[in-house]
Amino acid sequence: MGIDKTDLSICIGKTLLKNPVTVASGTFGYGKEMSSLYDLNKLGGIFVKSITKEPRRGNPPQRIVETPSGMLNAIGLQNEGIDDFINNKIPFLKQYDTALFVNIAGSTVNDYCYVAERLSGITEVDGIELNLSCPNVKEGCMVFGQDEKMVSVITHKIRALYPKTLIVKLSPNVTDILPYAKAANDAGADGISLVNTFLGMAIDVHSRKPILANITGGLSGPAIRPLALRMVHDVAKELSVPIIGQGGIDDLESALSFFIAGAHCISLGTANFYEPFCAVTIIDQLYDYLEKNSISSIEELVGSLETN
Amino acid sequence: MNTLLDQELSVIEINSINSEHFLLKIGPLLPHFSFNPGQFVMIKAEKNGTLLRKPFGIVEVEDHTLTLLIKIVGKTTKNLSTLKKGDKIQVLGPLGTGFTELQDHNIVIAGGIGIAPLYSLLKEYNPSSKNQTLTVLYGGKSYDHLPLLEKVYSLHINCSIATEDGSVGHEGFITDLLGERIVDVKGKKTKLFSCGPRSMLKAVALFAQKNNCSSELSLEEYMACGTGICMGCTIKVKEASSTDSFTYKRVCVEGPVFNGGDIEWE
Repeated sequence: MGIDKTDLSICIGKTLLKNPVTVASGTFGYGKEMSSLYDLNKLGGIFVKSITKEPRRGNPPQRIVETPSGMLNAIGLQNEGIDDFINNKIPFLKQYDTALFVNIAGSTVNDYCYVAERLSGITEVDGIELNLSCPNVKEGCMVFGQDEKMVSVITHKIRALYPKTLIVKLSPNVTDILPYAKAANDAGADGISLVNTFLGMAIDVHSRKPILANITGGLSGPAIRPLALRMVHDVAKELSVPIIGQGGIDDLESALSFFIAGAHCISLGTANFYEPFCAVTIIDQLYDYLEKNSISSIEELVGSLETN
Repeated sequence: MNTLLDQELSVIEINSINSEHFLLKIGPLLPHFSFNPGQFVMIKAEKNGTLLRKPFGIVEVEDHTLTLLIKIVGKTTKNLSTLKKGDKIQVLGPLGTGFTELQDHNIVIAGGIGIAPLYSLLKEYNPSSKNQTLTVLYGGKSYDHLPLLEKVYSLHINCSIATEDGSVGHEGFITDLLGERIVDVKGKKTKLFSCGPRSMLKAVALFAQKNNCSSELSLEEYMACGTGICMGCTIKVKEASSTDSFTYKRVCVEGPVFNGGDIEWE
């Protein structure tokens, strides 16, 4: 079987992913719901929904709305907090042989440090993803992610206390993404997730009110794909740090384009909502594609963009 | 537990009810597809479909055919109305909790297209039963907003109607009739089942509370996934903990059917 020869595995920091297809934080819960649809062992990795120090109840509804080729969301990091995650979510997740990354968020640097420290002792967790990019909360997250110095400070602090794989998820809501990626890289990040959602809004013209109760929300889905792809390219051509590419990927072609632009692995986000089997379909198609094109490993594809 | 399936089904027929409403019949469902009354499906037409699937309550399943009641309100429903026999639709379901079983005495209150997820519950009732009673209260803006009225009548269940414009039945809100009905069953085990506009559901919940009976309400909220992973479709639910007065629960997995007494009304 050719499949045995085709190598889809890829390293992000200290973590070996069996394949480069993961699911993005905030679009897959904590795995349980999707486990009734397919075997989570097939995934290269799971980035679970953001965890904070204390439980957060999230933003008032309406929280989501569909927009052309995409959707806006303003969930507001609703989660049950780190204690609940360790006690109630880990026992379920640990049965799966897939890389487990925990996205962490907070209002202060100390909040991030607290959650990271708690997770450092959990053997089932392969790494953490610093959420410096959620656009739907008033403190922390994107507020930090839009300040190069803060990206550096917080990445340094977490790096010092967290020995396993450390990924920083950046916001695309900046003029030039490269300095932010550099700041995270220089501070010791093992990988960079590009990108979180783009800040947007939608208006009900009849009532003249914003559709989302939060007024603004994060835009995701195929609508942002070219924007995200360009940012992956911007960073990949300057830095060798592994990139987790994401932004509207929902089929083989869009997945391939992110690898070619320089992403080491990809995350599916909004596609999990409208095509729940999308991630596992892409994994199968990726095997076939590499085989048919005599590409022995995914690494050969990464950053193979020809610009001349 | 019903198995969650993602199936590509074909349009079998579209039965127009009036200019705003139609029944969409799709199939063939896999033989092991089963559902509880009150559950829903997320659907997306292959042709001209929007990005996200949209939720619809299951009206009934017969001969491996799934029937949905659609009201034309926006892009998705307009597109669904133009589908032809054989067109493909992606169907994820059944989803959500559904209603619990009928009790000794039941009042089913439906507003407009809110009848959709209640219809299969009505079908579970045997009108010749001596131990069980069931009354349907069906209301809408006008006669045209009672899209399943003929189907409900065909079940031979005691049904009262109300329209806001008085075009048929009582002139006013359907909840106006609740007082009369509850008198018949006071002191006995009565359960209210309801689906419709939020204001109607609130009236039903408050009525149930005042009369010491339980209510099960099917709520609607904008959804992206239907499977519980996006956290987009939340509603306010009373919280037992001391630190918070309410919490947000997902309509798609913790609902769409909630106990009326648990909801924190705006």
